[in-house]
Amino acid sequence: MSEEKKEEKAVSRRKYLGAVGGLAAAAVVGWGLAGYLASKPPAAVKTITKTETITVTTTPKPTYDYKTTFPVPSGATPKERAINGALMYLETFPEAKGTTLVISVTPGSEGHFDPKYFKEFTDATGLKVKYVTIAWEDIVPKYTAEAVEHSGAYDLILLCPQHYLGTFVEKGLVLDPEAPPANYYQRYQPQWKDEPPSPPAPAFYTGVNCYMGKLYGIVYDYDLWTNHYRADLFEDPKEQKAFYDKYGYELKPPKTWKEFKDIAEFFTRPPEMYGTWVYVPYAWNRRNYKQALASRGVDYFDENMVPQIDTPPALEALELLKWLVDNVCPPEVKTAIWDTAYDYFARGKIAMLLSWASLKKYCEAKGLGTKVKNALCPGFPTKDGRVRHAAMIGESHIMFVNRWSKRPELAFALLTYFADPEVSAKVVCDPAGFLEPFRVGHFDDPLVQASYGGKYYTDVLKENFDWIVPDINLFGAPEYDDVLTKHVNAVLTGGESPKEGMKAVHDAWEAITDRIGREKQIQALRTFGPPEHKGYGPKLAPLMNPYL
Amino acid sequence: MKNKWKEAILKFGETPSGRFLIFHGPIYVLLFLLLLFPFLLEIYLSFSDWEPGRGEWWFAHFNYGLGFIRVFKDIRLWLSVGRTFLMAGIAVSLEFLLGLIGALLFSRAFIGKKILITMFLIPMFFMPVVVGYNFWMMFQPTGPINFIFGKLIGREIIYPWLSRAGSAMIAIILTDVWQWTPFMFLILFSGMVSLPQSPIEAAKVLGASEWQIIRYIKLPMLRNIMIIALVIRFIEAIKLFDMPFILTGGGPGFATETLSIYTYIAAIHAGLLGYGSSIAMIILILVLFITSPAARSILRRRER
Repeated sequence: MSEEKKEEKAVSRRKYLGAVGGLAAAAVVGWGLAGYLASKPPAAVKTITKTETITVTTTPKPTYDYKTTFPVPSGATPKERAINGALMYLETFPEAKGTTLVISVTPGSEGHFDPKYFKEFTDATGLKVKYVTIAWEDIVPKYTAEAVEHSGAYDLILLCPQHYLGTFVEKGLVLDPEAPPANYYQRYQPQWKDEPPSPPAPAFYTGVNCYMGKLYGIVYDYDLWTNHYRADLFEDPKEQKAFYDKYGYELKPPKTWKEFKDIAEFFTRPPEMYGTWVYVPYAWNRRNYKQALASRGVDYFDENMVPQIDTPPALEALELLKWLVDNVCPPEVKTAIWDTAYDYFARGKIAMLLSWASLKKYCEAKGLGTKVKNALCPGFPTKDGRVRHAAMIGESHIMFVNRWSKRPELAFALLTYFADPEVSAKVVCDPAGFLEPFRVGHFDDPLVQASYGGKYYTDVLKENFDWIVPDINLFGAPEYDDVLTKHVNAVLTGGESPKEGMKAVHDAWEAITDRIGREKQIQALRTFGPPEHKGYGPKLAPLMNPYL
Repeated sequence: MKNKWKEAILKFGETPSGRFLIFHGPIYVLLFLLLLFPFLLEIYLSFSDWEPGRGEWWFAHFNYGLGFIRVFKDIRLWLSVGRTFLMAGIAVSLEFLLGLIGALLFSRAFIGKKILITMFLIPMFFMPVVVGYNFWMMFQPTGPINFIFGKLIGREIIYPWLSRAGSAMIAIILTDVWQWTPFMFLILFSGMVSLPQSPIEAAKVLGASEWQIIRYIKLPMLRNIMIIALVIRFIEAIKLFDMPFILTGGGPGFATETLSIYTYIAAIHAGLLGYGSSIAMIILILVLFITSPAARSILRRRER
């Protein structure tokens, strides 16, 4: 009996399920049919219409496919051209509206990419802009990965140090802004060249923005070194008298390395105070080293790519640094970097610091404006008594469009916007970052002058143009740097003698050059800057001979 | 038709080779995908001169093994190998010793044991980068380590730990020991508490001293666990990267440049991925050569 009931139950359930399934299927079919019928246009109603022909003559609106034909954006300034160019593009490709453009930046420069700086651009175009920070150690690996993956993860790249540009051009990461048919540079005119009213520094254009003589981006950071000194100490009558009594000449900002050594020695009173600071750690020591090297009239290579770092004048420059490290620097110099150096200087624990302009901004922010003054970096004298100053480009940033950006037109428009003299002046004034004024016009901008301690300081920076020492854009620059800075570090920490350290660099550099291709490197070297001054400041160029 | 297939599959599954394929097959496929493919790619790259960003890897120049010859001639590499093995050897030995002492001490019951074990394990959970940065600050010439030493001997010490070759290496070893001793402790302690209690109890009844119990009962029974702990830590330690990278950047000069740092510089910083692969292959063989006796020893013991 119970079995029968079970059977009955089972049958009835099956029937029930079948019925429900059938109903559901019918509902789905019915729904679909209803939808189809509803979407059909209503049956035509017969109407009688009167047809009139009107002839309208209009100028056909030009069309651009952004493959073969590109519009020239209108506007009097780079900013206007950037916005108009982006709007024209969005008219052709409305699906790009609301696109987020990504800028990759260096740690510490984020403050310069606050939304307030590109609000005008985003408001006008409806585009979004965001930045991503690439850690210092990741700069080479991440951009190399991008060159291989072509992901378009970044539209704009803010590269630091600038002399890695050649490496990334070779790896195919950098968009050629002058390549036809897009020819972004000619259409947008972002004023990266020596163009009025606000050109970037001439040497920057000719050297830093280029690789193999071709333009690739815009320098976005001045980064020249000056000698920052504690004016309150230098102008103290007691100190002046004591210095005169000991050295026989007046205490004033040093012009030569000999004076610099004397003054640094004079102010070294450990543990309260030290004369100066030299960057010793790996990768950081390159700035002090090249500054000293150039002030002795030597550069890394001669015209045939033969390293010059182990020649007697070059060793003299390295020995000078070694003396400074051993005798007049705080103990932390061997391991700490700029943040500690800035802190030491701001607390009055070091008397002089060869450094970036951001130190001045830092001191201004700390309320030390009047206590800090600047002069050109010291140099070695030539035989005829002239002083060979050298204003090292401490690192510098260059901004360019990623070749693999999914919207290169929009990326270039944004780059043009950032390059605008007015926009860039505001950007470099932000105390929350270390990008420094880079356009000639910035130095006369009242806003910039106020942020950097007044006209006095910007005048010193302008004077520095004449003494610029750029780093050379060579393919393999990270590899050359690695070998150099490790050996300089070994020398400055006492692990190697200057002679053996630089001999090792010489040999390693020769091997790198041979592997990459000597002819290629010679070509890069010879096309760096115009022949008359090879990227050096005009006053330094004729003195770049150690035997003068 | 369906039944025929089913029968055939079932029949095949009953044969030894069929069983092998059905049960082992998926793991071989997984292994191939997870291990073998990247390994084969590594071998391919080690025979090429490929540099990322300069042409497609598939069409990279074949160097007929010249990369390996270059590896053997690369003095900077072999110095970094020597340094790495030295640092790893000292650090792992210290970690083992301290971990074992800790495991022996904690194997007894006492008040607050659980809290102390948790505290003892904390360093292991920190990010190596954070640990590196903290120790970098502590080893500064005017940092707390010199300050404490100064207080102990009664005069100011401004010793530049990280900018002298020998002391920089010591600093890295101490940092590594601080972070990874808990790992060694954890493995040894787990082994210690899972030891069978009957032989220990029997020894106690027979009047064995505490030291005799450790020496003749606990340690021999822990042997395999100890070998595993040492092998795992040693393999990890020779990959040492974060600590020296943060603490010294491989310096002063090249004094603390480890194998991983050098490989990173060659393969990633300089972009010589082909050469970096050649280095990795040689090192892999070297590590296998060094660690295989330990593995063999464990296997032999199990077979017995």
